Amino acid sequence: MANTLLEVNNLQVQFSTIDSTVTAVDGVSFSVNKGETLGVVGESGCGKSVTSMAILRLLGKTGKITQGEILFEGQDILKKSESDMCQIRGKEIAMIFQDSMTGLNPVMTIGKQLIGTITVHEKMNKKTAEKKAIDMLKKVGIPSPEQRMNEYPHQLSGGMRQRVMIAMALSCNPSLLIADEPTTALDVTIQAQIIELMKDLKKTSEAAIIIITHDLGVVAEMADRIMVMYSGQVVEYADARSIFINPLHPYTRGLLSSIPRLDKDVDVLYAIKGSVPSLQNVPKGCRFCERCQDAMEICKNKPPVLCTVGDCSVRCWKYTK
Amino acid sequence: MGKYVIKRLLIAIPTFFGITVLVYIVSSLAPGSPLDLLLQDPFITAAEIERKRIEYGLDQHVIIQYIRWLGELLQGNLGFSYRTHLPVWGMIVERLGPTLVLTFSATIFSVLVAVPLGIMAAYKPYSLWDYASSGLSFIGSATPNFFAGLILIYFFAVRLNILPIGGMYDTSGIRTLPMLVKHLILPAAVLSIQQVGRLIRQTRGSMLEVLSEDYIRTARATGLRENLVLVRHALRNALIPIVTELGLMIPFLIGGAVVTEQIFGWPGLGSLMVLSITQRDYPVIMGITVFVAVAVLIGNIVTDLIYSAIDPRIRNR
Repeated sequence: MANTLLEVNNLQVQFSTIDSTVTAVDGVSFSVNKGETLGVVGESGCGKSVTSMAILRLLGKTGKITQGEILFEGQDILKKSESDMCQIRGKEIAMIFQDSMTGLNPVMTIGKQLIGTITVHEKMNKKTAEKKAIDMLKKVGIPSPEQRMNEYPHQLSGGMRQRVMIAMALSCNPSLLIADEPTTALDVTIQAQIIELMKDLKKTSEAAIIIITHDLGVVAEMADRIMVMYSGQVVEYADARSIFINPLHPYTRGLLSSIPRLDKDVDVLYAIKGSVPSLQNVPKGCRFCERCQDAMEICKNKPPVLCTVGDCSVRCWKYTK
Repeated sequence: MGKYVIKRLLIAIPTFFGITVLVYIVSSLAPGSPLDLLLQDPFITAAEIERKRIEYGLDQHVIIQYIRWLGELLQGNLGFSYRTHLPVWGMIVERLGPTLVLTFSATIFSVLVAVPLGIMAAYKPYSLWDYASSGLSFIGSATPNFFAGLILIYFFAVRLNILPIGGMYDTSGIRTLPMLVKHLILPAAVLSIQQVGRLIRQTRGSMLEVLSEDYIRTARATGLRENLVLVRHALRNALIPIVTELGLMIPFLIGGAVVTEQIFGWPGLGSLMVLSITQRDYPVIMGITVFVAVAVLIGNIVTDLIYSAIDPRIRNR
């Protein structure tokens, strides 16, 4: 147990608007060990980003954690004061966001933003911080970093900006790095470069990584364990190998079949029918039931619970005895 | 950067000539003539009026008149007042000081009050605080200056008798700073009421927009404290539209607040303009108009330069 870095138990997040309350994350539990990489996979709106923002307690004014606990190094984050949270954010848990285009301040130089991040947590003079910032830029593979320090975000390409974001996130040696769709906004070739970079960083740093994506291909290369989310719930949680070799949940299978393959000659790309149910109108039974090929009678009426099959957890009536 | 400044200055040249044409056309289209003033003298003869007409050059074609006027203007000569026979330039300079004192103190006060209020309203939107400052801003921008002026004069000058009714100094002939401040409070307050209203709404709006940006989330995720997030990351981005709003106030800053100066008998450009219009003192009217227009032109260039200082994306265009 001493090896556990982050443990999330029965997390529930609700967003309230003037006329309704929606539950964006509903009873999610998982844990991340030191140095481990967890992949969180799911379609848009399944609650994966909300889960990560809840860990940093950055849900904004409308979102609220209504249930559960988040233990980071054994301490409940939800009980911490706001100023304690500022100590954790960036220093212990750092985050990389999806859109590097808008994620960096447009009126500040790259250098200023990096130095700003470094000096939030570490007391050092400007010269040392600047040196460290340049080192970080070098580490994430940015050519002529001294010159880049004085440039503004709009002068950099998308891939370069994402590298800067990664440099910012890693600058205080966090023990947990949350990467929320780090490659989604990038060109395919740049995506590959960023994934390579993340893989390198995984080897060289001791940080645990939570990588959030809708692209199973991204996590296939990096994750030790994978959690598949659907409509605010965990539907399958297993180690990466078994997810790819023997997916249990029909949704996971659907996601895997949706990946285009070159080695098989198919005319029509597979797609899961329908779309994610609205959070305002959650189905009574299994949330995936309307789109499921294997739906049974019970699926329509009773929500399945997470049950253990071997080393995996899966939320499906097919595996419930 | 240098290229940008030169480009802006070059564009200003044709704009200046456009202004002079417009000012001249509008002045000559306006009903009445500079000679109307002479008719106030009951003993004036038709021959005398005709003599003046030729002396003023009003018998020439309007284009000739314009070119002669423009030629003088380019040499820095704005002509002489028909009323006082003094040089127009001197009259403007004399009135400019009081106007700038009034409008700048009102604007600085407005910025100091409205920007913090707007930021706080944006930080806690739809809170009691937000509604209160929005209410204040609506009342402020909906209150006409003459009305606010009369109300303030009634309470502070007439009923409470703690502030003077008007003027810039009292009649004793001694001019001291405390006396100036005392005379300044009411007219500056009247001018601020509307400015504060506009600025609160502008600040709140742009701050709200900026606070929902991704880079604010990034800044929060690095563990930066909320007040630093506001000051270091949000404010500078939110300043861009606020600077626009202030830039739009430049004509008012230079031209003076015509109505307010009139109510409080403030010896500024605005009241000189009103006086000159009623007296059909064309050289002064045109002089002030050109002067204000040029000031606006320069003000806009300065606004653009401030933009590029704040926002690097404009600088590199």
